[in-house]
Amino acid sequence: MGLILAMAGNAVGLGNFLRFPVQAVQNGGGAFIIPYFVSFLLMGIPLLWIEWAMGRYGGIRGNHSTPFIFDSLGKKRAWKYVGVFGIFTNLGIISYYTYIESWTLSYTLKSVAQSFAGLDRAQVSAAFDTYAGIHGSMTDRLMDINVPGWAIVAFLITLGINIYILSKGLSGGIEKVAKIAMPLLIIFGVFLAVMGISLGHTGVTGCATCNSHLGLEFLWKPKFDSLANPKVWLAAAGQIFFTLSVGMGTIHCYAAYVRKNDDIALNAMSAGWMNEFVEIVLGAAIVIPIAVGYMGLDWVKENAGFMMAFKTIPYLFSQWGSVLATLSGVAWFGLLFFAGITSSLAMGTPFMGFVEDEFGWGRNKSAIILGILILILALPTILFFEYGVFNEYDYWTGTVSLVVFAAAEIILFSWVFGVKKGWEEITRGSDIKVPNIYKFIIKWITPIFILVIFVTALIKPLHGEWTDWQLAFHQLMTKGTWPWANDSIIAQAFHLNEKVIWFKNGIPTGMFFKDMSRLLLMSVFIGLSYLVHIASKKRKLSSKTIKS
Amino acid sequence: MSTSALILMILVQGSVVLITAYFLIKVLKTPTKSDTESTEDAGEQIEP
Repeated sequence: MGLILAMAGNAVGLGNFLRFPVQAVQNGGGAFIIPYFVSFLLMGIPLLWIEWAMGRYGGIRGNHSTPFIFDSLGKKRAWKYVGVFGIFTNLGIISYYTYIESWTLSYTLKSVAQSFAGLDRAQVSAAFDTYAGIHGSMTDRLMDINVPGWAIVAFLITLGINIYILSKGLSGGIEKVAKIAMPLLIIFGVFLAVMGISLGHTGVTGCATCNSHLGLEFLWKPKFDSLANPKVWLAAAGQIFFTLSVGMGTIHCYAAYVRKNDDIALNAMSAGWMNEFVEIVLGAAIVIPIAVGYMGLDWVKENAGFMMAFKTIPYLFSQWGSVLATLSGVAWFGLLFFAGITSSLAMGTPFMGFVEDEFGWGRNKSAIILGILILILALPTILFFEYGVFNEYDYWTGTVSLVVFAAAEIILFSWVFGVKKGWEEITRGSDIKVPNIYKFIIKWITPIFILVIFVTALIKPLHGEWTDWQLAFHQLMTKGTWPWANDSIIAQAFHLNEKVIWFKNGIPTGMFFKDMSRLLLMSVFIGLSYLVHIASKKRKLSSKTIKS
Repeated sequence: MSTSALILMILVQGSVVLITAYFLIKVLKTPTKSDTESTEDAGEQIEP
């Protein structure tokens, strides 16, 4: 049960409460749930089974990190370097994720201290900007760093907690935390969901659209016409990646510690569906209904975003009187902290599994080195948050890498390792009957699904709707050019829609910081690949020694 | 809330709750396999 809670904790993260409702609002409300569920059934569930199976297969052969789990499944040497994504992605994400986690810790304490009492919405929003060192316009301003000391102290405390728990290992640390954090998270979530649903129109008098039920109505009203919109499908599939933590390498690492005949099919389902419960039942009933209850539907449609959790929600809670505001603040930020820490702990395991296996480091040493690495990688996101470094990390490690890694693992599992052997691996020791249709889905549907997502994200045209694709192909045929969307991978990688200016009046621009952060991330990937190369040579040497 | 939104919400949330509960109960009721070691033991393998 501890492992399932740890796996569910890995999947349940900030995205369940902050990303899912926002994605739903931005992609047509009720229509979003249909592509979301289709993606879950055709991509999410197969990937969960595949990652559990790959992890167990590698684990029983002494491999607890994705480079060598991949190596054990594929014959070609290159697979272990593809597996580097499974460590790289986690190192990149954990760096900025721990920082967000520290915000939730600080805001829990601020809620206890009733720091938001008597503040208006603008003041609560400004308080967050001050906390994160956001100042608005950066034009012609000398590079200044104004992140308050407390924000850095909170980050160091959060990092310290993570490293301490990681140093205690899977059963001694992570599973114990999951056993406490997951039930608390659900209790807090249920409390807030009840508050959100029961708010109704009682929030603001005289505001016709201020009704939490209108928020629910918008989230759940089916609009079938948007099913033909590729943008909605891409957003839904992207959310499945985020929410299940597939394509990251964490599931492989946890699963590498289960035994040969342990059930993985049921465990994967149990953890996956627990995540869906938290996201669809609790996540959908908190932020949007409460925000609509006070700010109205139009405001939420226009302003829904990740930062709403810190810039708006504390103000909304303060409308409930001091006792309920404190309770709700503790429940909300405590819930986010627990969701965050159970995920960040999972992100620490791939690196630790790798260095423990390949270089024989002890848990304490691995945890401390991991902590130093996170600190080095996180500092630019904290100090230059305003300059786009945070978003840059999120885009490359938290978005692009996931799809690349998932595309690679599905090809490796279904086509290189072979679906016949793969199916045996998934179903061995299973306490549930895995539907045979999934054999076909794993071989054909999931790989095509992921490749379509990857190619679509790679060359996405401006606005990305169905008619935009038609116009883009027409433009390609007639003019030989392609209208790149700003967030398409190619446009991002080559700065196609923006001028490359590193310095303006001798002052580094946002572009400079973005490119430097890419360089840093690239160095991490190359460094990890080099470590995998050394580890591989060490393995060969030791097998030769044993033979001789 | 409109009827269509309410029906979709109850249908989706109800199904998710039921399926989650089904798998959770199944996990809790399934006896530990005798030929397997616990994760705890497996986790200890990496302790140098």
